Amino acid sequence: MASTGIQARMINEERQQRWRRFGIYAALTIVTIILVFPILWMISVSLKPTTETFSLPPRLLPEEFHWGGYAKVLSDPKFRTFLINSYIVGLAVTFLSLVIGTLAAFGFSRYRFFGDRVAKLFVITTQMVPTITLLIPYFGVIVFLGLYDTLWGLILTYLTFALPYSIVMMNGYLDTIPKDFDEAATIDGCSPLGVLVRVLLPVAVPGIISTAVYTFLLAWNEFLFALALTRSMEMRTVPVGISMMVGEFGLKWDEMMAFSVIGSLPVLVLFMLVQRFVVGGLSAGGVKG
Amino acid sequence: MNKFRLSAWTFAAATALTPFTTQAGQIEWLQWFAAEDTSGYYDQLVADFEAAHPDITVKLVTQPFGKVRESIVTDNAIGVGSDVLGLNMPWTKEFLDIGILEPLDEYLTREGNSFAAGDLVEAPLGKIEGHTWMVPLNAFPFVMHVNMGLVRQAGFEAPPTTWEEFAEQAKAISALEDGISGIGMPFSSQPPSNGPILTFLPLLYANGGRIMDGSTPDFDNPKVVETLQLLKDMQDEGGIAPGAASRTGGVDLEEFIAGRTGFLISPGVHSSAITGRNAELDYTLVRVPSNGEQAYRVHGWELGISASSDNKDDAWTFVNYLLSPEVNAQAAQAANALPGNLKALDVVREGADPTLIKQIDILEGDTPVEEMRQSPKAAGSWAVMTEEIQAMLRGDKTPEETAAAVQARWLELAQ
Repeated sequence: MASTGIQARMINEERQQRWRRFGIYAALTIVTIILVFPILWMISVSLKPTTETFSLPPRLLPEEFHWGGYAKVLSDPKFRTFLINSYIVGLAVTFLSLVIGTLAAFGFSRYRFFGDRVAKLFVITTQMVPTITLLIPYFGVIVFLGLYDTLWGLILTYLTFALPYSIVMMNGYLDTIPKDFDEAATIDGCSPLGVLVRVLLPVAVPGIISTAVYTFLLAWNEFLFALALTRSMEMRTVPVGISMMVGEFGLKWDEMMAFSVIGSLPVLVLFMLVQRFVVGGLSAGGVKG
Repeated sequence: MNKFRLSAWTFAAATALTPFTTQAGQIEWLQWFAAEDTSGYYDQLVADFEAAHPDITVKLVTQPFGKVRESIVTDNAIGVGSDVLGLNMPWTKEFLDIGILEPLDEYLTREGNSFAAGDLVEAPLGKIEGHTWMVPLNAFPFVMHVNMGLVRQAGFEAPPTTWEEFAEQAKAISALEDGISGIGMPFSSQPPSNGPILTFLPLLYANGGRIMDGSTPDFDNPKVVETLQLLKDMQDEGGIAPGAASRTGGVDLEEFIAGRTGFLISPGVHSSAITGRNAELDYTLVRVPSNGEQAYRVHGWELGISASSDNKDDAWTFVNYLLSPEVNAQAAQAANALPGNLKALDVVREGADPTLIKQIDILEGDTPVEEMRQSPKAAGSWAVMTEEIQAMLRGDKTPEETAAAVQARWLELAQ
């Protein structure tokens, strides 16, 4: 009798578990569809002639694949310039914010000095100011420095946004690495910089990658400052190039979406390659061990 | 050696990423026209000008249309404004209040100009605060684009010419099948949609009405009320596509191209997008249906000179070049527009797109009208118009109440 009761309870629990799993998968599927649909639609529109873009009922798969948007974008040298500029700015901001951010985070993580808490708090509070309010002051500073309409102006500007994040992230990650490592390396004759480069950084690779991905994305996707701080076509980046296709008298949907796909590809590929590290790095940096 | 290499690399990187500084005789031309052009015409235009004027170089600064107004204001505030400015007439008063524009009266009377001021399209030249502030590069008259296939399907042989025929045909087309409508009315508040200035004003001008008395708002006059009544009646009879309050000009154009609306009131320049994207559409363009008057709304690409420019004479040399009949005709053909210099009309006709020739023919003798440039706060004014017309189409207000509400809010805005 008792064993029948236990069996019934087990079957019941199994059923419940199956339903729970089904619920989780259903929710995940719905969320995935919601997140992925805009990307699929972007690809779909890039492969359709404009008349089909607005056809009713809407179709995800084009009746006939139209490569005109891609041909136009890929054959136009100005779009290549936008891509190259975005790469230069993105990679420079990523490199500089990682180097400076890691050194600063190392200081915050491993040393106690007068005003360190205030300095850390200050770094975090810079993230709380809405960027739009900074546009005019930044504009003035960049013009004053003679960096208006240069890629240096954009790199410097994005660095001010990316650096606080890099410091906070790397500081969080370095805090999770036991100080015993440092002490052992110091006993073996390592200098403080040697400890950072030879001991801590190899262990902190996931944190470095997640920080790098974030800063690259920030620089790659930014539109407002890229538009305001550059002037000539030779200095424009991908987001500004895409906005150029929103004309006074209409939109070039196929070209705009084709360039959007081309502009999104590096980010998508990058994220897919390092996704494992990004998730690990974010969670490790977010929780102090 | 390593230090030397590092310095050399740093210098090379700095040189590659930093453009050369401004030189004497260099002017900047901020505009959005090149962003609308796919043929590379504007680069060639600048190259031709520089070849003809070796002492002046022109830097072409291109912004997307939706950002040009903000750019001009911001650049001026920071002190990096361009010398020659591409302008939209409704921005005039706002720019004058900030002191961005240079009066052009003296330049227009200079001997040796390549054009006569009397040959230019008149609308942008009208004096505000006693001066002329801009000259027309191109003019885009508003017309009505017609899907003749739907018109015939609804039982009519010819496009409408009067308001009565217009309302009747729109209603009949809407009745054909679900998803097909007589006309779309883009009354979205979402920028850069210009709402009523795209559809309401062309109908008002074809009714002989105006919204301004000089620089004073005059929205609650009988002609305005009649035009609002037309929209209200068409809406009630189902002639207007559903969702007017969220419809933008861009969506309106795409719906017409896709063959889902019978009529589209918009600049004639849209004809190239329509025929280019849907060659199978049985398409024609006509004058906006009139209630007895022959006046059309005109939009344009205007040129002005920045008051803070250090190279005003060079800037004028460039503007003068753009307005010469030969160059102006090329600019008009490149944009599929009417030329700002009417002396260029004959040249434009030669080899022009048939739809452009049709615009020239049907609008010959009609009066071009543009009033928003006199409005103290044009962008704010059309937002008010949009909101109140939305309320009317929702059934919250009568046309009389709508006109009175816009007038009251405009007066408040003007103060």
